[in-house]
Amino acid sequence: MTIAVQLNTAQSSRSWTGSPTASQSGATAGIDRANSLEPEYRKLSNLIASSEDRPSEGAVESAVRFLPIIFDQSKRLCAWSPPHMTVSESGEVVFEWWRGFKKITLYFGEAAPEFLKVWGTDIETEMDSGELKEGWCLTSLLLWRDS
Amino acid sequence: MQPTIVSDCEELYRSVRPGEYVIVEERTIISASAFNDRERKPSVDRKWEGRKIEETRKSSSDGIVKIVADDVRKTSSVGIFDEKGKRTSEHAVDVVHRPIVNDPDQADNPAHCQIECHPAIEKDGSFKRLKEAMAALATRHGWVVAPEAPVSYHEATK
Repeated sequence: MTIAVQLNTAQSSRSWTGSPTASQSGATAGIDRANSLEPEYRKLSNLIASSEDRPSEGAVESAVRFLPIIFDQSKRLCAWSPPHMTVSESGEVVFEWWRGFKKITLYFGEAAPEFLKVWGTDIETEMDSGELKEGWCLTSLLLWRDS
Repeated sequence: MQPTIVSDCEELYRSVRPGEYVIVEERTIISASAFNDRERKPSVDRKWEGRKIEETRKSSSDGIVKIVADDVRKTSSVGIFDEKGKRTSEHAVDVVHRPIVNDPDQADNPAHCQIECHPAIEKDGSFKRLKEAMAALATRHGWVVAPEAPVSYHEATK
């Protein structure tokens, strides 16, 4: 089933530990990242320009800092998939990815980023949440989503 | 107007704006943000005599989704107990009838209800989980009233 975010692990040419392949320079990788993320930065700009539910400045700064990190980690493990982007009632920037019955939601606000893992509708037994720790390492979340 | 108890079998309707859903291969997925609410008590409408379901939405570009009261209550298995340790009839997550009548700031809406967490389980993060549950429930049912001009995911990401 194709969903809003489709991952294709076959597209990745990077090693498990995330080191770039010898054939791609850092400059090329940076250009690739900038080009790939341009639509996401544009979406963030649209959220800011929205008259309703505008994100806070801290939320936008946090999301902008995070985007290249998740991009690089996604590319290392599988392939980049753009998130669905919205704003919460508290002015947080929200990223959502779906894959089958699994979902990852990330919240960016004034405090540390938060994650939610969702695989059902029971808020106690079919969800997990917490702060994004370890320098925003998303490997475990991405692996769970793709498992 | 006196509030009445929302029965388990009742359908509840929520207006969903553009940007609060994605469409992938003709399947609509509802975002958690569709249940945003500053008071952490998302509003839904129950069926009400003399009131059309379409009145739930604020714009023709909005769609209407539904969730069922029993499913809402089952999103939490946490029991609520009284001071004697006896389980009460209250639900940790509930749908409560909150009719809006003669409010100077809002139009009358006798069908108005709210999804509310019992204070016993209210904590940081629980409302975010609640929104996820509501979005997943709404996604299962799909549109009750589709937006007049649905925006696909790819168009929305331009």
